Amino acid sequence: MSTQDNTPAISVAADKHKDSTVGLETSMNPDTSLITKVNLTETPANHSEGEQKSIAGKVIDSLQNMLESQGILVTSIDAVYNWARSNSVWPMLFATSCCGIEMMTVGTSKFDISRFGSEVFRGTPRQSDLIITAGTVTHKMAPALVRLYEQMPEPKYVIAMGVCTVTGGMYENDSYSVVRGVDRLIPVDVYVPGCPPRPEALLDALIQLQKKIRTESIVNRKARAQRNRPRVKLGPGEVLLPLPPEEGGEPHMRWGVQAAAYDVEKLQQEGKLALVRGNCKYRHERRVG
Amino acid sequence: MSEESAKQNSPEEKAETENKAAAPPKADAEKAPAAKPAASTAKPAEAPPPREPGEFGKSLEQAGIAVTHLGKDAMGIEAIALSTHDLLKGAEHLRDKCAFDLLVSCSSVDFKTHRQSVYHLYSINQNKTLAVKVDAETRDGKDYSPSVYPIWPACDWHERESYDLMGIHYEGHPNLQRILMPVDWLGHPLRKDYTVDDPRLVWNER
Amino acid sequence: MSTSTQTPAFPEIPGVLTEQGLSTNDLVVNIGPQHPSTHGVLRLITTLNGEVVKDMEPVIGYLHRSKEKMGETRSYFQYQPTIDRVEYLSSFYDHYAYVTAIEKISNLIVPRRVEYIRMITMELNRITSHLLWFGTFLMDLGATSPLFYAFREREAIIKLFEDVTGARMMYNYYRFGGVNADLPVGWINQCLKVVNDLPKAFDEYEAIVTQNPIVLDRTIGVGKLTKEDCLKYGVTGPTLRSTGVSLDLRKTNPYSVYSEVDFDVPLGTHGDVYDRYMIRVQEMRESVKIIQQALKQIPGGDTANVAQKEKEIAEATRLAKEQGLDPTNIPKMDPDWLIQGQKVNLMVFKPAAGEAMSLLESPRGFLGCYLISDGSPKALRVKWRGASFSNLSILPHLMIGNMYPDLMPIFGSLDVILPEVDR
Repeated sequence: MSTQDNTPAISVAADKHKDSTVGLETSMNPDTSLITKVNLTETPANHSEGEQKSIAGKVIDSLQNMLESQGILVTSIDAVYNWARSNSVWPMLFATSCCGIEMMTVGTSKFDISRFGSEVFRGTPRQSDLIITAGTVTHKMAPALVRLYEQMPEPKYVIAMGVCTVTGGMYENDSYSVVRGVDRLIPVDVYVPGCPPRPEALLDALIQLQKKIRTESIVNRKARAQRNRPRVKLGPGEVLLPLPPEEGGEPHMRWGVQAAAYDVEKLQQEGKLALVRGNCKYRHERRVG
Repeated sequence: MSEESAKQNSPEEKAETENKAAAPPKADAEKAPAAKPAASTAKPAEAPPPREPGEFGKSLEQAGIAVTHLGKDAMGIEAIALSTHDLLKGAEHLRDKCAFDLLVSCSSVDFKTHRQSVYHLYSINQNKTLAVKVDAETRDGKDYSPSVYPIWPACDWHERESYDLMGIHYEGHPNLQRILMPVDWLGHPLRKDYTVDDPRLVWNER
Repeated sequence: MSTSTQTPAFPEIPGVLTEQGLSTNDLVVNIGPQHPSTHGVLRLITTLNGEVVKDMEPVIGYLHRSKEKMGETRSYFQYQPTIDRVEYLSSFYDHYAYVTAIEKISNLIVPRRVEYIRMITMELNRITSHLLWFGTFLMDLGATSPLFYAFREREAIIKLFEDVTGARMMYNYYRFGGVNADLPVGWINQCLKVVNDLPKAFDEYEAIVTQNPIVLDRTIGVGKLTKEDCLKYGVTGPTLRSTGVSLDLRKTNPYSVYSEVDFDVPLGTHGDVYDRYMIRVQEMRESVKIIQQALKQIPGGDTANVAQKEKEIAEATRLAKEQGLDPTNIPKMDPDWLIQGQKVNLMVFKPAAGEAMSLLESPRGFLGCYLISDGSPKALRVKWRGASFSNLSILPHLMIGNMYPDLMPIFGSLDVILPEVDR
């Protein structure tokens, strides 16, 4: 989360004020939660709003070291909160396909994901805070995945493991039944390419996720939850076994379509459906010769 | 499936071993070299040249069932073709008299003009494999073929998959439903003329 | 007042309390598609009466990735990287089925060294597949440590695969008429070392599992099958062999160079879960035997010898050219030592028109690739006959009438891999 242009203005004043409390005053862009300005002030209130790995971060670190050596430990609530959360991320067992084997390998002793805090793989979404979508997601599986994501309690994270979940992978060109990337369905935090990614790559992804968690703020929990809602609406009262259209069932889910962005019926009424569908054939059939 | 019998096949027979199809034939197939693509020609569709009958084809003929012999495939597996009318009788003969007790698979092939089901059978006692091809007959735009469920119940899921992906309706199947695609999917994906037209999918998922 | 010993006299409350006890409704439970123990995305719509399963309907298709359609839209060589994923635990078998079908259709010569390399890699793959099965089967039963033991051996073998093919899991190693690259120098010795250590590891696993009273209680007598049941559903592989039927395609219809190595096929007697477990552990030991023999019999031996021979031939050719000697005196490379029979131009590879059904014995049963080619660069039809597709169809038969906790040993013993079911 580094900002190249927004060099914050910092004033370090700790040296001469040993007895007063030192605080951080930060101004943050609420949409992107990027710190735009950092002021190190002497205020009674400890008013920290997140950490940042930039000049400000390094200064704060050195300041803390200085203060620690003088007997004062300064931490922000966020740092503790995020440290605790990022070091105990419990994933859920969602192993659809081949990447699931590499996910299992990460759990075993040679690569050992539990040293990063993921001690257990939970079987139920209700008790997990991370879903590693390991394996291809098809249109038939998509409602199940969205429902699992919705069942996870906040704060929740998603690692899209394997190219099948990033873009559709090798099925992106010809397949009629694969969802081209799981971020059409749920919001993704870390993408791991690879087919399958090496276990070390998945561990790297977990480390990236831990770094991402540490940049969050306790103040913005609700905004984050609102931003990270599933992309597809599940219809009311839908069951996972819908009736076929000739028996009165209706398409219960708009697979792959961002429900907020595209409303197929509305487009059809407006006569704009052709723009969405086009006269699409398989790519290989559109090639000449 | 033994390699010895595959090597004993003459190269010409291997070259001309192909599916019973309405594809334009090779007129001088016996003298044709090994690799000759099936290019469409202006010749009228003749019946493919007669192949040497294998032991199971002969056994069926002796029982009075009309069989078209298709020679051996590249692995040495004998292939015969039955019509939809004779399929159940032939299947019963194969199971009872020729001891084909294991149905290995039921595939479906889409030639542009018709669809065909291919059953591969295996006999545990004789260690022999047999391929039985059945052309599906088309009525009112749909393909129908009898189901061999009364004879080999192992075809249950295989025929459901064949129906799901190719659209061949198997008459006599106890539970003919879609098995691999979602239940409300439109179309039969494995057909050659299938384009993904489902309005529920995004533009680059077709 | 009834004095029968079986049903005490309760006052009847219609709808709730009957003569037989509390009236219960049947509970319809969805097991899956996401479930820790379904080994993939399988949905079982189970109707339970208490703990007894009254009806079970498997719903598959959650991983249908249109592999067979991709065989028709891609050329032969473009399709090759994708067939590893048909059955990802035994991807060498998928490759072999596809490659051998094409080789038989186009009459490509396959050198013997290639066949030995293929057999060694396939049998190592069988061991890794069975090891993973072993770990997950016991994890389903509740024992978590065998998973870590099994993966320790599995990592050793995967390191070997990585040295040869470059990948940990999706190898894409076989080519039409040969393999991608020769074994690295010293690989044969390393493989022999790893494989010689395996029986000791198997003894270690068996020491904690085979006589374990919990395992015995949960698996003996559970999930009994007969030969007629298996044939009725098309079941093959270790599940069929547990009923006593000696059907192993490596012995009955030998392909590759299996006829030149000596091994046994373990058979079961009762057809229950414990037999299937023992068969797979025994099959791992037999695979070790096959690999040890093959490593000694491989034409050319270590790649260093092959490279040495090539160097000698190159030197002799150079000298002959310099001195203008008779070229027929130059020694030729032993054709058995090659890793590619003949050059195939993979970009425009057009096999002859024909068809082939290649059946193999994969770790789960009959794996078949039915390939129809019409002489064009793309296949007309590629059909995968996966072993797990038929093996899974016997699950309702096994479960109906049984207790629900028996699902774990029974389903685990069938060794089902979902991509093979759904393709």
